[in-house]
Amino acid sequence: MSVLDAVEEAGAAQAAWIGACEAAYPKVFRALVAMGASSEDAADAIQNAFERALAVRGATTSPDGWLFVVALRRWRRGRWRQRLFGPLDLLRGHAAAGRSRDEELDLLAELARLTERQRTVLVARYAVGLSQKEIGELLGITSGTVAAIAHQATRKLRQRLGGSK
Amino acid sequence: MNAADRDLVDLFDDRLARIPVPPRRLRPRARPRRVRALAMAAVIGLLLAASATTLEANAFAEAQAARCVDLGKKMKAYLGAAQIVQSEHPVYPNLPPGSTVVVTAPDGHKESIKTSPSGANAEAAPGSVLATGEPTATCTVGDVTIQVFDSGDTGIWMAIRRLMPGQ
Repeated sequence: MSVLDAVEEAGAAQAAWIGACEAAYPKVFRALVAMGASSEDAADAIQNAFERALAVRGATTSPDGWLFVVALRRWRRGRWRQRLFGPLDLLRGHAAAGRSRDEELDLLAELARLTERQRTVLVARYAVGLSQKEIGELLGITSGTVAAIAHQATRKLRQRLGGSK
Repeated sequence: MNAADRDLVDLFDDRLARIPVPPRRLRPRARPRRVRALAMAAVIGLLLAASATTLEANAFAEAQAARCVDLGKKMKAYLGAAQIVQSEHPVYPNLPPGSTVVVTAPDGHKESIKTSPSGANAEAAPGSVLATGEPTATCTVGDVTIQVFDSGDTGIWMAIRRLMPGQ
């Protein structure tokens, strides 16, 4: 393979990678909101993740999972701003995305009651659609641990959501 | 994926699908106003802290001077016609039990008094000097100089009971 061919192939691979990330954007956005991010913070975090995606010439994991984990980390790092300005936003009447609809409140409110780890595993599994193995690789834990966390979290979620119906 | 998982997937899909997704942002939100406001708040906070420290130091110095005047008033009962003047030197405010205060009269005569462990005043023999080392504070009230020596324990303020010879 010549240098030009290699460059062309790398460019095509990256374009495909970016395209896959673009396609994953709506799913990952909703997943971040399910994690507790506001609409604006979710959009910011994903935008930052996209900037990072441009530097990554195709990850070995799925774009959905990669984008979700990178955006999640960015959002968590920026949460100090949320803590600082949250009360001010409340005074101004800004509501977090997904909190204004009664039916969504059930799921999002119950997700918020889980531990951060449980919430991350459930959202990664059921909102982003990752397998236990993919979740384990992205979060740096074994798939056995992912299974255990998912089992506990789904049991709690079913009990609480089942009781509210 | 089993049936129970499918149930949860459908639940998530159904609920989250109602969240509106804005167009992908091409640039991060600019936060200059908040950052500026935060920086301003930090600067104001620092200025206030600095001025509070200054005010606190001034208040402390005033309290110290007031204590010296108060001590001087007590001394006046023993000094008779001695004039009380505002001290320029602070007096250690809380003398621990076991601390010693040495009073030096203009003729060089020294009187000293030491606090007891319970904080009650004790008298020392006239002319005895119980203090050693450098004084932690010196207060001049009228024509009497008070030197305070700190023994290092925790305690309470003491009063001079016997100040001038011949009384």
